[in-house]
Amino acid sequence: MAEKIRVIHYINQFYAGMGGEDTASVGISVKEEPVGPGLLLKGLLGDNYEIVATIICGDNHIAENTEEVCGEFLEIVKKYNGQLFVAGPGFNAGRYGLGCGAATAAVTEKLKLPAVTGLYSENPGTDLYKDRAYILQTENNAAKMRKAMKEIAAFAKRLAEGEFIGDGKKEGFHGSGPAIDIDYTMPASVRGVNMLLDKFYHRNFRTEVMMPNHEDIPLPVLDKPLSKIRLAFVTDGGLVPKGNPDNMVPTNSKYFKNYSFGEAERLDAADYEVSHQGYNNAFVLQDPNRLVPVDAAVALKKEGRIGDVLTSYYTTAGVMTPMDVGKKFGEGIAKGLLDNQVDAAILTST
Amino acid sequence: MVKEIERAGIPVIHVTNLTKISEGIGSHRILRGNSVLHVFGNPSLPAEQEVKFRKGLVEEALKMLTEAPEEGQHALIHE
Repeated sequence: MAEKIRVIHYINQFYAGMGGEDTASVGISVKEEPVGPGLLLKGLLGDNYEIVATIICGDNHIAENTEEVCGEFLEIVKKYNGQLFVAGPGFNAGRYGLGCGAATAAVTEKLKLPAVTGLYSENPGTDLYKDRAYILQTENNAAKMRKAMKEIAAFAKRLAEGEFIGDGKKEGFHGSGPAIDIDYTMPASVRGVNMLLDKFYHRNFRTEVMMPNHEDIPLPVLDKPLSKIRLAFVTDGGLVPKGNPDNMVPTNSKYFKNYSFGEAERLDAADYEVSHQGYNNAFVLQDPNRLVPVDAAVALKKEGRIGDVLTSYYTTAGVMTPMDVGKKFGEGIAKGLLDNQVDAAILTST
Repeated sequence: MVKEIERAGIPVIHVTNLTKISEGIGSHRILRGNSVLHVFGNPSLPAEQEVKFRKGLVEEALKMLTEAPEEGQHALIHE
């Protein structure tokens, strides 16, 4: 039998069974065997493939040091003579999705190896990397692991075997997939006409132009000096008053709230708690000013560096909250800020 | 949320560690926080110095409010 194709699989600390948010800052480790969802992947890839290494990395670690961590991933893939790279799938997990997208793009671009991951459409990693890597469309829910992995395995095998891959709509991946290598020795006019002919004859062709998909909003500017502005705080880190009086949910938020801290010069840990299941809240619980820096702003106001600080803050939990809901929150918060004659805002995201 | 606040004409600084995500959605002013777990905190410092550190970061954010992205750039990003 021919030699098996060597597969490298990347998963996070959660899927490796190391823990949840409490261990999200752990660095890279490697196991020379399939781990967690890798066992499923192994079965689906079949006997001609072997998962020779599983890279495990904490979500905070990869999200905070993306470039550096991806560089280390590439070294690991090289060390194990990887021939196929699979990440995740990350579904709708924000930092993990970012890691899956970044790692898959890095392997695709730097090592020119077949690489694939799977993410939900609204995962922030999807938008960032969908035009640089194959990111298969998954549900937003990890309960669909079996279905997602089945598709990833089938796609990965086709990639590894060099089969023709059609466009994203047909194949079920986000965006346009890996950027195409443009042959600049051929004039753009010739490339353009060739593309047109391919289109005319219903042959596959890929555009060289990537359209940004975010809406461009004009840059707002301050119309007065800092010493005259009223500053306000907004956070998606889920900071709520002790007892969570409005039952703010820790995930998939339905609303935002505006909470007054009155004349307080700093937020007192005894008065607050966090309703947010997407990060380890311990540091914020210890000192809420680490999320909503009221102490610093009040001090700056006293020094006359800024004019005023709005005595309430806007809050929600930004975990698994769909984009259109976030947009609605933003509209509501913006209205509140205008009603309160706020000139500028600091928005903290965890 | 950043974009809707900007749409209302209010300058806003997005302070986060996931600066790439913020850039991806099209925020104009982005400042990298100290950590996902404590954007405006630095628990490794003694309390007094941490307050100073935080004040410094808020001042940096305020300064960015008065600035614009460089010509040809969409966002002003301080990593």
